[in-house]
Amino acid sequence: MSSFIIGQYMPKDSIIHRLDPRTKMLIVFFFVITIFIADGVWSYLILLIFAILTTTLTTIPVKYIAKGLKPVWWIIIITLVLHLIITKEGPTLFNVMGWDIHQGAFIKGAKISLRFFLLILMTTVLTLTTPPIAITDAVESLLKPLKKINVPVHELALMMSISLRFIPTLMQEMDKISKAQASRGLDMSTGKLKDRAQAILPLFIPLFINAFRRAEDLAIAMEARGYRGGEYRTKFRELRFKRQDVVVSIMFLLMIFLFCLIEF
Amino acid sequence: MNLDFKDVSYTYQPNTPLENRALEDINLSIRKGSFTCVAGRTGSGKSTMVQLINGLLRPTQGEIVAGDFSLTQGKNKSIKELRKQVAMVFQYPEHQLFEETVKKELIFGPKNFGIKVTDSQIEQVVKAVGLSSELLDRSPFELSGGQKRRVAIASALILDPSVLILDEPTAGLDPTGQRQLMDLFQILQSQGKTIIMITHHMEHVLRAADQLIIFDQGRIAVQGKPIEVFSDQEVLRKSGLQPPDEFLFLDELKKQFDIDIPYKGQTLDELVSEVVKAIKLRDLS
Ligand SMILES: Nc1ncnc2c1ncn2[C@@H]1O[C@H](COP(=O)(O)OP(=O)(O)O)[C@@H](O)[C@H]1O
Ligand SMILES: [Mg+2]
Repeated sequence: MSSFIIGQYMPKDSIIHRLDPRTKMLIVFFFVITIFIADGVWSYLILLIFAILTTTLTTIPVKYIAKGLKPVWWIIIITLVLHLIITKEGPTLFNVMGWDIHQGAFIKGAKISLRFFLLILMTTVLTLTTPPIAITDAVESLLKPLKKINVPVHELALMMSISLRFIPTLMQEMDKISKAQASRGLDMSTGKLKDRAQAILPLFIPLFINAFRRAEDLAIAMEARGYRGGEYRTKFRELRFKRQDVVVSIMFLLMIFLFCLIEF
Repeated sequence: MNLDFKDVSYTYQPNTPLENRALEDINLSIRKGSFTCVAGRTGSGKSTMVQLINGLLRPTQGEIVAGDFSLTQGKNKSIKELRKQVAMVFQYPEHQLFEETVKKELIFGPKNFGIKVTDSQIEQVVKAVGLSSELLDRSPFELSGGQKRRVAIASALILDPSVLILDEPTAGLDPTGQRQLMDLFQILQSQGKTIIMITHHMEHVLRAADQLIIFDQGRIAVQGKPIEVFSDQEVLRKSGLQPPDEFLFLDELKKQFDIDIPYKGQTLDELVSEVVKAIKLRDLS
């Protein structure tokens, strides 16, 4: 399995982990909005400091996060380079192999890259510190008002939690299937493109068949235990805001306030 | 081919917080043509160990020598050649069956390795694993669990490998099915193949194995001839295993009646007559 960490959960016992998932989701939501409003250097600095502070508080090794975001680094570098080549704003700074590099290109490229980086970092911190089940609970709880207009909130949340629950299972299964087929001489890495494309079938057919079988088992198990959907159902994990949620929210609001002072 | 593990360690997801040291400092050697059983608790590293043998996993440290092949941390080009000779049957046939018919399933491996197989070879293998050849044109997904397991074993056997690795091949089968498969594995050994089998059934180990390796938390707790290993019940229990009934019975006999009969591979009938003789002797004196 790769070390790619977007969407992964990393159990630890930090203050960020202990926060109510709704607090975290709302903060990330508004943080993302602020990212796209931000314009000046100082606003970006504040956002960056807030993001770094949050990341540090999770107690997850920075090296691990940095390595897990490797594909993201590449996207950021490519964005930056593209901007340097394409954007033609501001005075010319210097000339590389016949291409004029403009000052505006640097500023624009840096801005976009930083936006993208902050976006990915904060959402990754959210998923790293919040188990998928808690995220689903938070979604259900936050979307509850929509029930009034007949949106099947509970069912949507259930679908989401089942999908999230089975991602690691399917990945493990894929690992086992590819080992079993490799033992029978299946070779994905060499040969003609057509052969390689065909090599997908021995991997995906068992995966899908097992997934369908599992879905059927799950449906039967749920029915056998009398599952009837959201009506009258009580919660095992009740979400409750605690003092730490209030403290963190106030700090976030202070940051937003500071941000507005600088920005407007 | 002979197989040797030299100071082998294996770590899953190294250098991450999820790092999991599954095997530590493993030294073992499996002779050509022998029957080796591997036992231990779930998660003790058995499957990891056998996956190192045919290069599905690369050792984080140490070296595995399999005949002419040397497996270390780096990449090997000739890995496919090794897998042709070292066949592996995984615990769940559901992880490999995908073709429309059993017959196609069986020739999948030979096709990948560039081996030609004739219809009579297919019939032979199917018969050897105890399936009827009528099943050849059926879909593998219509078969029962036991039949699927046999198809998986047949799909390895058809490669005529010199080493056959089996990960819990008898789990979940009825006693008759288990005995049939054990008989098959012993026949294969007598034809000169090296058999490596992961199992929790100590009675199978006692019947068939030349060597027993017991894993405990990623290390080898004890290895040796099954009879020798079973005589030290302390180590066995620590690794979550129980010796076969014969040993439990003889132990109890010694405790309760002070009759000491060493176990040297006697059958049940032989044991009974030895016990009767010992009791008669004691009554005389
Ligand atoms: N693909 C994997 N990724 C991470 N850890 C694994 C993986 N496979 C096995 N492990 C871990 O390695 C250890 C040994 O597992 P395994 O060799 O499967 O044990 P056994 O076959 O004896 O039950 C266990 O702690 C298990 O959780
Ligand atoms: Mg196993």
